Amino acid sequence: MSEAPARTLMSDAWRSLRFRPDVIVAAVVLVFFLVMAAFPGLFTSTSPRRCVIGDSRLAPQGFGAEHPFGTDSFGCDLLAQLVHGARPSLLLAFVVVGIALVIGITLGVLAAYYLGWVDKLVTRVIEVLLVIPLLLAAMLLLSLFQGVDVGSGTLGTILLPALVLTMFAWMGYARYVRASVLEVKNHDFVTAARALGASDLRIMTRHLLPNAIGPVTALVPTSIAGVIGAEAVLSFLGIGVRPPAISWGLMISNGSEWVTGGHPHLLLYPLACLVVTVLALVVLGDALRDALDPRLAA
Amino acid sequence: MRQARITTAAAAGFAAVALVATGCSAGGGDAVTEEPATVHLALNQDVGTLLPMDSNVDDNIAVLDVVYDGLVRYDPETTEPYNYVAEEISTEDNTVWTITIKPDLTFQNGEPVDAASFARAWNYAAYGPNAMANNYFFERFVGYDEMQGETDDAGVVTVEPTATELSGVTVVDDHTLEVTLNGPFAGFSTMLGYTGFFPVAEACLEDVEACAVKPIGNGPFQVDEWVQGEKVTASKWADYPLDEAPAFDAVEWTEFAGGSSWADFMAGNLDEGAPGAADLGDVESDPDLAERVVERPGAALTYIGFPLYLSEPWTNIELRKAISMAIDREGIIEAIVPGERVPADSWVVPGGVPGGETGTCEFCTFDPEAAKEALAAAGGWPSGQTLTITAGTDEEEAELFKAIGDSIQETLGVPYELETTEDFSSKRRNREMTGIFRNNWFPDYPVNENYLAPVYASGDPEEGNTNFGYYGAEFEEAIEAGDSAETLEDAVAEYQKAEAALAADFPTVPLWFSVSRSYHSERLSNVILDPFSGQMKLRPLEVAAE
Repeated sequence: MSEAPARTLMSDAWRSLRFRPDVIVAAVVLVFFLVMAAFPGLFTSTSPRRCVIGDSRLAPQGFGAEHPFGTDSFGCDLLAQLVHGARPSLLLAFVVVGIALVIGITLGVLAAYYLGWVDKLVTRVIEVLLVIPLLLAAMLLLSLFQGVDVGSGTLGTILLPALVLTMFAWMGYARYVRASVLEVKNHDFVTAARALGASDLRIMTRHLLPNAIGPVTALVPTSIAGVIGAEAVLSFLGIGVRPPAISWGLMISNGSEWVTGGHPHLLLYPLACLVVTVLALVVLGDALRDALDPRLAA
Repeated sequence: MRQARITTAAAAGFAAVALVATGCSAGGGDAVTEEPATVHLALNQDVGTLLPMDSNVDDNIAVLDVVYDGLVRYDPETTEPYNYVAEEISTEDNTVWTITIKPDLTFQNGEPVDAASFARAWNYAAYGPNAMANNYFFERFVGYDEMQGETDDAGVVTVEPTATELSGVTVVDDHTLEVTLNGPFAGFSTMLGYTGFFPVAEACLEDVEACAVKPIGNGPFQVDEWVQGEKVTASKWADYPLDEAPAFDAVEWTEFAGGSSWADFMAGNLDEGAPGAADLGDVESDPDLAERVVERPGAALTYIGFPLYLSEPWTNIELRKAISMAIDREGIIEAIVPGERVPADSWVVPGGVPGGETGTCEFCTFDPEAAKEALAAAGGWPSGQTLTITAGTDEEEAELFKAIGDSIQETLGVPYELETTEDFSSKRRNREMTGIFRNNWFPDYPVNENYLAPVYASGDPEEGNTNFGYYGAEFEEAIEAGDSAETLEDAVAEYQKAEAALAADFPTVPLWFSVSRSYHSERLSNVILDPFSGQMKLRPLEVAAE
């Protein structure tokens, strides 16, 4: 038997995850929707903005027909809307979590490493932001800036909700990272690195961060799910992704009024997409946490 | 004339009514204390004032309709005007009008309703710096121009007017008023029932702000209190001398400020309302509600305007025709507001006012082939450009205009973007439109002229009218010919020619006329909707005891 490869936390986690059936199913679902968001053309050739009012509110016709999932109240193809709606929903979630991760990790490491006033400032800001209810703040800010023109590209349509959601999404990471770094920074290898004259930046990036990032990684899928849900809520309130862009949240909002009007499919299809995606992310997040946090895996 | 934001709700006379039954004696003849019969209505628009000179939206007009009496009133069925406060309105030449007022009428504070009370209100409204919404109704009066002065964009007076009174209005004696117009206008007496021509008491002008909240009327009801943003309450004026008084004791208007009051109606708090599109399926299958619906064709026209003050492609009539024929009016109405609009193919509501006829617009039917041909004749749509469609922020209107955009895009292959903005009115007034935009008009008095002259006439061949930049020489001539016609019938015929001239120039695209529909409680009967605004008429309303 050859020499075993170096065992790291990540490779351990990978090994324990890849044979769990729930993880496999969740991953397949997620990849499916990611591909849909990236290449909508693979799933439908109809433009989501082609709406023929004479064909409004058709019932689902099954695959092969012109409108497999039927049409909405404007006569737009529902399948095309679902497929094209995946991108804003997922992009928003990934952008928000990505930026929040960067902010959270940076501030968390800085606070824990330097302590003193840096730590005081960061923890106070975190506390202040944590006590503001997300929905209240988001509603307030988004309605304030509702009239601001930010362009109509994919980025423009998600810019405002992305900014607001990011503002309230980084605190968790910062706290986790800060706690981990506090724990790690007194270990001998850090002291050794410092004794060898390593710069602060090098200690932080090469020694502290790799050891502190584990617990945060486990948070990511769950937060992505959270942001997708939050976007749906904001769109439902009319302050999320802006029409004419389409997102699942907007479709749910538009479809909800027709449930009792005899066209429940207008709500059920986007809702199913949203629920399945969120569920897949939550399953992944759970599994990842189990794998990365040995204390929970008892 | 008013240009109001109509929601279906408002258009459908979203007034809601409930009543507290009069507690009558239970039989034996013992006197039982009577509870006042109160009618509960809804105000769906944001109402800012109850001053007649400044009231020009559906809802404050509806309130003032029972608080004030005008010189003439309109038959709710036929829209035919008849004298009410006026004893007689006469003229020899349609230019100088003599109005005699019924004797012994008073305001609710005891002041007499005389010639001076009308002159007072009209002078106040016509005085430019007062910035009254109904100011421009007095354009036809001699002396109007001298009262305007100049204001800058912020509304600050820069040049004081040279007159404070209309020289064309003379108080001959207590009950006689003489009005001189700039030129003949056969429809003048028809105009006089509009809210902007109501009289006001002297005490009202002494404290205008108080009067705007608690009007001193001469009608059958007096406003008890207006808690702004919440509700207006009014009760019967015991000394009302004329005969058109409602048969109930009090009215309460709850303000909904753009929100929907349908849920309140269904809950029984309000007994009259109009459902949204998604509720409609449920409502129509409810046999109980089906018996309590009143419907009548409305008079409000929604139409598309073009920025004719810009250059190509808007100034190209073929392009305008192409857009008009690319809109599937029936399909849009059927899908979004079933039963609540009628496709329009004229600029004046057919049947609703004298001179209104169907089919004056030749290019107002959905015809994809003809639309494509017209676009080709116009030289095609500039490639790479997006058609901007601008509308206000009303949700239902936004849906309708999205559907219009879809229809144009599907038929002509022109990509569009829908812009809904709160600054809609100022953008239109300041000529900042860059694409097509929504317009809405409903008449204030029953002459076809009201759909034409106030909207399109400007007398300015260089700039055209304010909102669209339209000027049509033939149109202006026909309007003038109508104004100087001897009888109203002749005038109406001339105004019809003006509409024909408009159809030839095709500056705007008629879309649809409103349909007024309202559901009411079991306890109401004789529910009649206003032919102009679709609001429920309060005076003929009958309220049954529970």
